[in-house]
Amino acid sequence: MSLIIGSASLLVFTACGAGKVDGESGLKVVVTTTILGDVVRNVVGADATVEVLVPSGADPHDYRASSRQVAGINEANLVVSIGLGLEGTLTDVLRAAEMDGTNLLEIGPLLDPISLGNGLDPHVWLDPKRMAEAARLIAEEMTRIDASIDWSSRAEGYAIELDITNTEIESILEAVPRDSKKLVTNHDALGYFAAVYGFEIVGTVIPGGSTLGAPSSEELGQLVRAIEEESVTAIFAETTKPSALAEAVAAEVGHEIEVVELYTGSLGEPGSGADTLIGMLLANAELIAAALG
Amino acid sequence: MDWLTEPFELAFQQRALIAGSLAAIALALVGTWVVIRGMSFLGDALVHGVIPGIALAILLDFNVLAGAVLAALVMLAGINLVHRQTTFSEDTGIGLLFVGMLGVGVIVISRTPSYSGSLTAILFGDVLGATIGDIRVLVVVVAVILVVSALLYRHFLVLAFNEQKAELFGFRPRFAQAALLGLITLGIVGSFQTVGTLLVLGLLVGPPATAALIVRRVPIMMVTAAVIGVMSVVAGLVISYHFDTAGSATMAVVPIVLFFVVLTIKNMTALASRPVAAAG
Repeated sequence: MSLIIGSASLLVFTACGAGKVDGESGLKVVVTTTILGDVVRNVVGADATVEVLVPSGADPHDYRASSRQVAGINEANLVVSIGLGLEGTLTDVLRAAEMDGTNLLEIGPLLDPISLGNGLDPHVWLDPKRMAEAARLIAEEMTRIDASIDWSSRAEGYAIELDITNTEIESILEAVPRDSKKLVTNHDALGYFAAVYGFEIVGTVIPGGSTLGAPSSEELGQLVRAIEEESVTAIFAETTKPSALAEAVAAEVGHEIEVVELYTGSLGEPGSGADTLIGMLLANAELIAAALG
Repeated sequence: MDWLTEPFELAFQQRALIAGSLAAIALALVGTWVVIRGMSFLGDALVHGVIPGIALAILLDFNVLAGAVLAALVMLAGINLVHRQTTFSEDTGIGLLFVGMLGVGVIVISRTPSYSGSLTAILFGDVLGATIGDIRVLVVVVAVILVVSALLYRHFLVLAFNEQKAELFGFRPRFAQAALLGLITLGIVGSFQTVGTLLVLGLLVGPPATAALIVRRVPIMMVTAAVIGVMSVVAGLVISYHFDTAGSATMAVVPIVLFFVVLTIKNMTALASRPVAAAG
């Protein structure tokens, strides 16, 4: 595990956000989130510059771009976004750029998204296999733009790394007994994780998908009862959002329960071990295994 | 000159300029009455009060604009009811309805099962993402506001400056009030989905208030406010481009800063001219 994180952090982070230093080929890819930025960097290496729109730790729903950034979007050879409603208002800006001829790749809808309520769940990056597929799709798109560079083999290498990560996560999660594979989350972020690794989502603190939704006191009461019945030992919150309600639910539950912050929406700070997608997925698996194991 | 032309070279920047300018003109026309009649709080409340209508429209899958207008009508009816049946001042009714409507909006959104991200991001647009379709809607909004303002100009004027005597003069203040509220609602609802909440409020109050500092006659105030509004949009886009600041928000801040600059200059010239006047 440490070997993979080590090799990933060796990757040179070229001109994040500045967008002034061009790669040798002069190709430029703009991405919406830090996580996509990491995936694209693994595919393009030093052959293109990668510009991330939404800074680390910020919520992509609420992000507002500057005119200069939108100009950057219009000049990019490729723009990669998650789609499925994740980027909020930024979606309008991206779609308008697409109508002006910008090459936009909305990756979420292409990765066999699972449903969430009556829509689709945008949190695709929490499944390493889907992200391996995302890397391949990005390589295909880059090949269409410039076929003289071998994007596919680098994407394939990264996909293998993600495959290994998947196996590692499975072995980390073996520490969790079968009847403890129950998740209570702050908002609906762990759908893919639960589906892929055989967890059951017992309850969610914030209802209705939206980060602005607020639960009723009856809903919170039901959640507390569900946690007690299933003897759940942890509530999983996220590093990018406040977890006051999760803390309140934890205080209400009769037995010992902890609130664990996972990396779900944005990469961790440099040096946190979760500053790459692979590092982040492994860190989350370790945290979940430690809390439920 | 490159510094000034570079931010407008790309198509999205030109659309942002056109959409922003149209919104600035529409909001300058209705905003002048908002400032003269002291209705800024109502304007703010209207922008947030339409949320439950939009949320319902998204949930039940009907036209978002229709939802917004419906919510605005409910809100205005409620404010009117409080105003007529109690002795409270109008802002009490506005406050009650503002919170009530916003609360209903959050309740509806919490019942929406699909992933919708943050509420405001879905409900309110960003001028940097304006499309040709948005611009068409704004052209219609500006045209309607221009025509109705011109037709009812004398009614609005009497309402603004001499509401008590309006009926004696043969005007119908209730009708004028309803028409004015309708126009304000149209201006707000018609532009907020394209240019965002912040920019709507900034352009509704900022340019007319600044204009009211320097000119007195209403038509000149409207023209001045429209010019200030358009200039704010231009300046906001240039600043957003060169200093990498959030687009709509920058355009919203410019007219407010301008207001205080004009106010300071006005006060300084008044101070400076006093001894001169005494000497003369």
